[in-house]
Amino acid sequence: MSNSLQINGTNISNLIRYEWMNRKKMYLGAGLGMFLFLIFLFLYIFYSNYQTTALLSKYIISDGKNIAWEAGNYQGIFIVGVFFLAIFATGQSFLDLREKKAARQYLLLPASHLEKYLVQFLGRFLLPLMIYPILFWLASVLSVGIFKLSILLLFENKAIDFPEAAQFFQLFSLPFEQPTIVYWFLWGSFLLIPSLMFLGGIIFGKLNFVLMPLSVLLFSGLMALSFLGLSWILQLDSIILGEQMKFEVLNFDKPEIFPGIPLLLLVIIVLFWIAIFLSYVVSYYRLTEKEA
Amino acid sequence: MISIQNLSFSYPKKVSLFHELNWECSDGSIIGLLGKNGAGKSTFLRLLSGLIFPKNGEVKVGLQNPRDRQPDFLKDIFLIPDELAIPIHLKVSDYTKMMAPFYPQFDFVRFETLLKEFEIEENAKLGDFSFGQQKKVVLAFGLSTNCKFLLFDEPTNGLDIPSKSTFRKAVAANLGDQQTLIIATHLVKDVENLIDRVVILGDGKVKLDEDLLALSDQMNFGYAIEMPETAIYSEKSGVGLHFIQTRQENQNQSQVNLELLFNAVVSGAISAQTFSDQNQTTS
Repeated sequence: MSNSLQINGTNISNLIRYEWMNRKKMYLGAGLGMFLFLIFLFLYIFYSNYQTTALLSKYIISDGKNIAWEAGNYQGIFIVGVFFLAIFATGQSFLDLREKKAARQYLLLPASHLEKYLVQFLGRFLLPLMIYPILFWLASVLSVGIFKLSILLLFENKAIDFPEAAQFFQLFSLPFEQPTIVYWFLWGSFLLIPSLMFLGGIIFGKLNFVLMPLSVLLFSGLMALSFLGLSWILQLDSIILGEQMKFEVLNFDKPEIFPGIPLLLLVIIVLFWIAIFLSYVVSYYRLTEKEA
Repeated sequence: MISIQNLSFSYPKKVSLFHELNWECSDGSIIGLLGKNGAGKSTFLRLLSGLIFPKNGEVKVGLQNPRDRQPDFLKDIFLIPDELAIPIHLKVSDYTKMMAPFYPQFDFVRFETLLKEFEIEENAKLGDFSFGQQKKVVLAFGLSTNCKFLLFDEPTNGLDIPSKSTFRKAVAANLGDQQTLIIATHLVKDVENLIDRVVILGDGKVKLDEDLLALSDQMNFGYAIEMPETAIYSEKSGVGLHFIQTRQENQNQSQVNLELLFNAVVSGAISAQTFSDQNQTTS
């Protein structure tokens, strides 16, 4: 095996120590900041619901109980959080390569490219995605506790339905009992964003959080335009812009390549998963070819 | 051993910096790499360390191609760039804890001794240091790594006068027989008594590559009121002039005046050809 592909435990631990000692404050600050923000957000929702209930009971017939916040309601916030995490945490990959001086030191650290790559993947991709659900769940539990305590100690109306804390595994649940084509589509889009942001860290550097989303939007726009263009080529009257705007594009769900599996959806899923795979391959080779 | 064959290199959208450059050096020497501003001294070191890649040609450091940046190669090479990138929030001791494990041969005792010689407090924060003090920490670290190849870019830049002397002593005392140190500098006086070989870069090539002992054997560096007839190169200085001439058999060996030699080479008065011609004449 080539030395540049070697994985040595000592080198990995040296790199982790290097990363930690260099950026301890950033990791702790980001973790704590996210935790406090989530608590603030949950408490804001809980108190807003409580106040809305109070208003409703004052002016409209109400049973006096508040709008209940259930465990299942957390998932939307959780998913939005993952996208923010992808942009602001995973997108911060290869921070050492953003500045020439730091890059010179980093590239000459005695470890293989693969070891450096894995430590980046661990620190910027796996770690945030592992820590985030735990912090999210803990923040929900703590927020519910704080809310209950504050109601019992400070508010008059105590006969309310208290909000539920998040259930850890429910955060990841999808509305399908068994994998379907939509399941692969959702997981693909869920993984694609952090994967592209990870790649963007080594391509765009500091401006990654702007340029990579912009590139994705541009690419999606071109895809949509080519879709419209194709529709127009195949059927000239499918798009009319003028007196009466009309878009009769090709059907999204037709033709079906397999029963219940539209061709276009399959193509998009295949593109998503190829892009996920390639984003890691490309970022690895970018690292091996990086000069400073 | 370091070997460079037919090296060509240019930065994007810039004229070629090196063209068909060839150079070799055996292990265990202290080399002074000299050149005018923009001659490519720093680039040369970065090519040797694998930070940048040649456009053409081959570079071998030890048995490795620097471009691959193999871990075994990186454990054996330490580059101190002119512009340092050190974590200013760390103490010197923490910096050592962070960096030393990467170098299996790191000598902690030597590092502590060198820090004392440089008058650096181990528990102080790197951010509280001046540029010169930060440089001393990195120099002490580099000399303690026991790497086979040490590449120092302007190491005395920023050092005060006593520290320059300490640096020279530290290098002389701590460099092993198999270690190769290349010092790229424009402060030739700082390395005059330290190096045992001089390489002068210019016009994309190695203009001169000579052992200092061989130089003092073949050339006479002197000072006179009037220029001797046999002088190859001279420079006015005060009431007289410094000159270089071919050393006669009956003349004592003189100390190589690096600055004068550098100016002579850059002006074209002396070239590698001068020495090869002389060697042929004497043989």
